[in-house]
Amino acid sequence: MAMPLSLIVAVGLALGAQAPSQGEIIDRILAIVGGQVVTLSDARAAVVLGLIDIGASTGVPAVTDRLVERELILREVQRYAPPEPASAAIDARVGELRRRFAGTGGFEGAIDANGFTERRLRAWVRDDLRVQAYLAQRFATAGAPTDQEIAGAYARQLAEFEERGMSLEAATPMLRERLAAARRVELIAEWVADLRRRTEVVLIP
Amino acid sequence: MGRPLCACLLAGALVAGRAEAQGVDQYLGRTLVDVRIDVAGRPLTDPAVGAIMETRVGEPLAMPQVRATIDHLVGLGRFQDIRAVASPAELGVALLWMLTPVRLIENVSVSGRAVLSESDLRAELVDRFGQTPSAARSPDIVRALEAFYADRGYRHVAITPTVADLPTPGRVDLRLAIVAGPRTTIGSTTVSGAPREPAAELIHRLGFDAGRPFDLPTMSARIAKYEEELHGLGYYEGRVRESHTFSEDGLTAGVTIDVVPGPHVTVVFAGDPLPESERQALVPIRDERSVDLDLLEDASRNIEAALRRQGYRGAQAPYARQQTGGELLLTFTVARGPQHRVGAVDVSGASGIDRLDLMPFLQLKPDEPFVDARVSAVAAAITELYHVRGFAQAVVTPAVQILPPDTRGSASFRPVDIRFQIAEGPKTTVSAVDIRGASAVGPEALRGLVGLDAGKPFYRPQLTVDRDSLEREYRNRGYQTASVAPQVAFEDEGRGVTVVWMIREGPQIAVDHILITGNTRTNIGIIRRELTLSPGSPLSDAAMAESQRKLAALGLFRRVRISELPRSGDTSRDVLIEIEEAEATTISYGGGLEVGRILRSSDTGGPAEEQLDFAPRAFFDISRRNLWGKNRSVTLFARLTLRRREPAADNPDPTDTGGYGLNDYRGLFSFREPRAFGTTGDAQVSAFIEQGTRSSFNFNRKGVSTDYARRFGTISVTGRYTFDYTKLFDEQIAPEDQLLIDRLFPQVKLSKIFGAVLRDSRDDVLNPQQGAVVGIDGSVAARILGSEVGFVKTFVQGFLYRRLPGRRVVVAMGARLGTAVGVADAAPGGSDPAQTDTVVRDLPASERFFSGGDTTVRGFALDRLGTAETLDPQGFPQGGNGLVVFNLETRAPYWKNIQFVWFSDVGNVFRYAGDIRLNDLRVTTGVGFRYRSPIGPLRVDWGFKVSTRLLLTGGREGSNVLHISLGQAF
Repeated sequence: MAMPLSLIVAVGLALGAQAPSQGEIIDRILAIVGGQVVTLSDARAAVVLGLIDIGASTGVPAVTDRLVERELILREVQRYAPPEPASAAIDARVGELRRRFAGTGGFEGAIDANGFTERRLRAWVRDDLRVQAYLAQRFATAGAPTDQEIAGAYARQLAEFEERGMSLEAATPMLRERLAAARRVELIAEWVADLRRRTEVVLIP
Repeated sequence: MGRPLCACLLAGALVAGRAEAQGVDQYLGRTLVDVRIDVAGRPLTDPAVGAIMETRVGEPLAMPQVRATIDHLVGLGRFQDIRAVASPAELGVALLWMLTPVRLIENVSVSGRAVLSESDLRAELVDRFGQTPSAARSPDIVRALEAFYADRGYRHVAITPTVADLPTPGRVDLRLAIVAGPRTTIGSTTVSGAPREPAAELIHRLGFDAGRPFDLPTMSARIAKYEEELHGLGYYEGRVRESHTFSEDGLTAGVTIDVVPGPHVTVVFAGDPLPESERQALVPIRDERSVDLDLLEDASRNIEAALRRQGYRGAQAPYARQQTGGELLLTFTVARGPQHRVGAVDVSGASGIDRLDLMPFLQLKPDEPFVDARVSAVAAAITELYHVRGFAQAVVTPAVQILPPDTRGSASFRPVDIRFQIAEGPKTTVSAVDIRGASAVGPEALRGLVGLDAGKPFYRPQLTVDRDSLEREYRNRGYQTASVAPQVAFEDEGRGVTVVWMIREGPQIAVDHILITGNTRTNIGIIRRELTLSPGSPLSDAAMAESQRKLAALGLFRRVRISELPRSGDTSRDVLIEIEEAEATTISYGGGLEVGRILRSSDTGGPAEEQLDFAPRAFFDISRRNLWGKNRSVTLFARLTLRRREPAADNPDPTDTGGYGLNDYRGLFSFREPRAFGTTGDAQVSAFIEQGTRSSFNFNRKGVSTDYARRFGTISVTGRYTFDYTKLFDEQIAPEDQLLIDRLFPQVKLSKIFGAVLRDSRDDVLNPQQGAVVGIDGSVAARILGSEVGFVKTFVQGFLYRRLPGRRVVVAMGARLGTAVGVADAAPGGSDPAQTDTVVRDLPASERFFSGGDTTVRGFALDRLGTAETLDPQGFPQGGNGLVVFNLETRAPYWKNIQFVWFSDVGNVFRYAGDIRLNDLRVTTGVGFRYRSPIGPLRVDWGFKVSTRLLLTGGREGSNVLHISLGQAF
């Protein structure tokens, strides 16, 4: 089960072999968000350790964008000082990250190779939990969809529900949940965009 | 295991996508054999930057050190891009740091067909990005300007930025080539709603006619103005909204204006009278532009509250809303009811607190309007007093008894007796205090910080104060995340309480690096010397505040800011010190008019007369600070006074009648060295030249001096050596009446050593209300030092200031004692051999004591105080070797910023120190006023002699003197 680590090494070696004599950038600034720096090693660590949800996006700009968003949210969260997450919750999340490397013994190596320390990792996880708590609290009351909106959504997704043999009445709880979640995502996106407008964000090409 | 694999592939893609960080692992752990730092392609020359690098030759390359170095460098705020480049080397790895300095946009210039005003564009950029944004924000700047243009109808603007370096390092010129392109015009305007005028008229009035340029800010301003007009006409809820759509090519806009004027509102007051002047404030419909339910209810409450404050405790002011078509009639019906006045006030149920202690809280006077809110406030104040004394469950209930109507004059009212019924409950005493969770700080040290200790009355708000004290203590020790929470457990039916402090200390944060930016002239050692923080020391709030205070006190900087740089998940923080240096050269100048009474010889040969003297003056000061970056400074000061000169009493030239001229001046050049000789004291070397006037003579003096002064808390110690040459002229005292020493030494060289110790604990130097000043100084002049005459002189002074309890009256008192003795010495031989052996016991005129005037004994004009032996027959003062002055003054508030003052000054000047007799002291008294101005108290004192004396030349002393000056007398 040493495959992930070996793969990292393999990729690194393969790419590194291309021009080792010219020197390689091992770290650099990707962005500065209100004075807080986001570096290439941060981006690597976030991807390798699974600290951010990268979805289907790849490449430095996409990951940088995600980290910039995280920093913007974190700055706002720190202004309001949400409750401190329980140590057990932090332990559980760190344990989850550790298990991703189970059997490879590469967890500590991955941390070290990307400029992290265990303490910093725990702080990152703590911040993530605080962000979650803040978002849950701030956007919990995203407006519930009206019956008209639910009916409209049912009509748009009629094929799916017909296939599953669900009437409007049966599909209403599911649609309500989906619409509320979509609205929440939309609100958070608008909020982050606003934070970005209000904060000095410098992207280093 | 699918997830890590995916992540790894992505990580590979991440790095491969930019051909960066290829094979980082191959370098990690290998020994650094070379570390180079390039700034803009050139080797680093600044040692301050080199000192914060964590990657060092001989150590293995590790990413945490690389990352930490980036944090330090970013914290400096001097680099906008930082790259760490590794390359294989023999026996290890070489690391190159490539730093790109921050480039700040100092100037924005515009070319092309910008159309819009360049100053408007600049104002927008300053508003959005500040005065000097980073050049890295050029893309954001372009986007912001595109939006700015679009709002003004230029939706196809093309903006091309270029950045050009300016001669000042790190500063650039942002050049914007702008082609505004075609402007969107209004294609059509539609009006909806119910405007008061025809649609076409409204469109024209608003300037929304077809073909006019589309300019959103201007359109919004016109709509806002139109809304204001509606409100002014009584359509308080009138609203106008604008919306627009653009054609496909963006060149025309369809505008829609929706007008909702709302009803026309009329406000009427019925029932009891309500003063016209108060209506607008109580019913702020016009100001708020609203007639909504909340506002109307607030208005009713405002009227009722205003009447209740006048004793109409049952006042009602309901409103009625009546709408007929577009008209809305609001009627407030005021019913005051009978006025109530305070009758008897009493307290019952008080046993735990003496009634005398409660009396100051009973601020209700019989016959004043009865106001429920004031009664409740008194009850709350008494309750709070009980809580402070430990009666945590005390309840104070006001019981009011309304008596039958009474009449006073033509006014009828209802007297109200008030009784504050007190249910004290048990007195709660802290039985024990426990501190849990503290390991970094000893429990005893923490216990000393809490006010609620065992045996003290329990007062719940004190818990918050104690918590803040404990948390502050932790933060001052670097425990920045420490949290403290109290837990209280009552026992013995509330008579006792145990307080347990639960402490979570968290990690201690230490200072990692101290980064200093902004110092271009100031030596970094000067800045570090003032810091109470150092690398490795706890990150203490108190140390940061103290460092900031000390740096600001240097006077070298316009701005000092100390902050910690965030670095998540570590136990150390970089501390960033940002300074903005003040101008190195400062110039100040000014002028004024000195008005005073001075002595003049009488034309008739009688006693000297006091005459009003006007003396315009000007000063100029130029200083150069921070010489060689070490906070040294040089100052050149000059003062010139246009003053009338009196010729000497024995002036042989009958054509010399004196007159106005630059007869009073002072020039001073000084060099100051703070923290001289490696101590905390300051040294100063000065050269001076001055000419001045006294009552009996004029003098010219030139010399040099060197000082060393050091503070020890409130005590300052000063040592000084002075060598000067003083020449007297225009003596008003006839030669035959002059002291021997003045005749022998009309010009004299003095070489003096001076020492002083002063303790100053005043709360305000200009206008003290508390504290004291106590000082003693002494000086010695001797031939062995190069002086032409020798003397020893001491001066002891003490001033005490006390504010009387409960009042704003300040009592100030002072005492001054000066004694001097001339060292017996043979006078120099001159043309008169008889004088050769004369023994001189006096001091030169410039060193003798004088008294009288606005800061000493105010019943006398300047220098006019003295025993008969120290005044010449005309009343001109000769000065003496002994001085005693006592002052007593009370300063009481009179009206607004004016104080009334009564004073008594006692004192005298004696020929010799051994002549000092208390029964020879002259007593004066007087009154005065102080006006507290922004530049200090302006003072008017009128002093009277308790008894006047006959003069040798006949006549009697003037009985009073008026003084006008700035600052307190002492």
